[in-house]
Amino acid sequence: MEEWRFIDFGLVDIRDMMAMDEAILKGDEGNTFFFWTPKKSIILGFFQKADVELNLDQCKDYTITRRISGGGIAFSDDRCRQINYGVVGTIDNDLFPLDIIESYKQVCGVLIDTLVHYGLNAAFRPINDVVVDNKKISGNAQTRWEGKLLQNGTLLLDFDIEEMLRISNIPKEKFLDKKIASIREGLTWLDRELGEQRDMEEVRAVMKGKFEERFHVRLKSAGLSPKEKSLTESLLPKYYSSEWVYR
Amino acid sequence: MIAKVGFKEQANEYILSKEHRFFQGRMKKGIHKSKGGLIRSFVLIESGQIKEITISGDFFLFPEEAIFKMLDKLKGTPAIRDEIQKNIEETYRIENIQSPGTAPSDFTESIMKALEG
Repeated sequence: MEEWRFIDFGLVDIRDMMAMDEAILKGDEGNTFFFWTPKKSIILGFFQKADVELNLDQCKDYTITRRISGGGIAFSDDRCRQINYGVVGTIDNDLFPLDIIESYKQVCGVLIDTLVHYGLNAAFRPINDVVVDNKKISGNAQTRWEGKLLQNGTLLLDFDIEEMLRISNIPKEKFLDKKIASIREGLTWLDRELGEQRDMEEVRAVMKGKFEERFHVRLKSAGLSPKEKSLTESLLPKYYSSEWVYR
Repeated sequence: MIAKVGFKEQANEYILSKEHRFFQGRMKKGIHKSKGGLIRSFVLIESGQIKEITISGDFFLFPEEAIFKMLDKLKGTPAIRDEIQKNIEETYRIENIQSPGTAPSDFTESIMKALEG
């Protein structure tokens, strides 16, 4: 069975993580699946302006950076009960389809399989969401570079909606066409759905197993290569700079 | 894990001054929701032409950097729906842009809402 690389970065500063994320995409270490747990932070999508999307006065104790993929804010509260993952894969028409939505669907299948394992009614909602009973439980963002894709996403185990609303400027237009009366009714998380707290390590292990099943590979633990570490070092100033974050 | 030396961290003073500069302008704001995400446009018109334009949103567009080419190309365009649409479609063609759930007309719609607002 083919082996792909697996990395668990643990609790990380998102600026460091976004630099490593880009380095994995632009390195040449092959297909990789990785986990990371963000400290209290906000990651802006590539096209988002910080002063438009965020109530910056309320964000002073958050670390803020921007990622290289589009999509919306990835908000992590200090409960740290989110599983964040990344996948870097070579685009082909089988495992990682060229069609953008099909490729989201393929990778999001790992999350769906994980949620189904816990008995939940999970489904893919194009373009980039995973829902349980039509409530968003996972947001995902993808970019592509030289025949490879990078998809990042999060699986919510717990979530502080009040805090997210406090720090963000979400306009009502965002939710109009989803026929959702309020943001509170449009989001959910694993603890809420199961009525109990699951151990994060256990959920991660299930997800890792579902990844192996879906892609028919064995994941082998490893770290960044010297080339990726060097690339990360060169990318760090960008992710720490005001010019990148507040442009 | 990674050594961090030789560069400065972000400064709140910078954020606030930039924010103020952004809103002190006479930019009009338009919001449009496409299937692929929200598009917020901020447009400054002078003599019937787009003088400044910026976009913020949670849509997806590949390659991402093409957004800057789209915005550059819109500067100097007559503030008329057909001209804006033609201009955006041309950038899509030249840059081979893919934007799942978001069409050139969605950007036009957001910009027109700013102009009409």
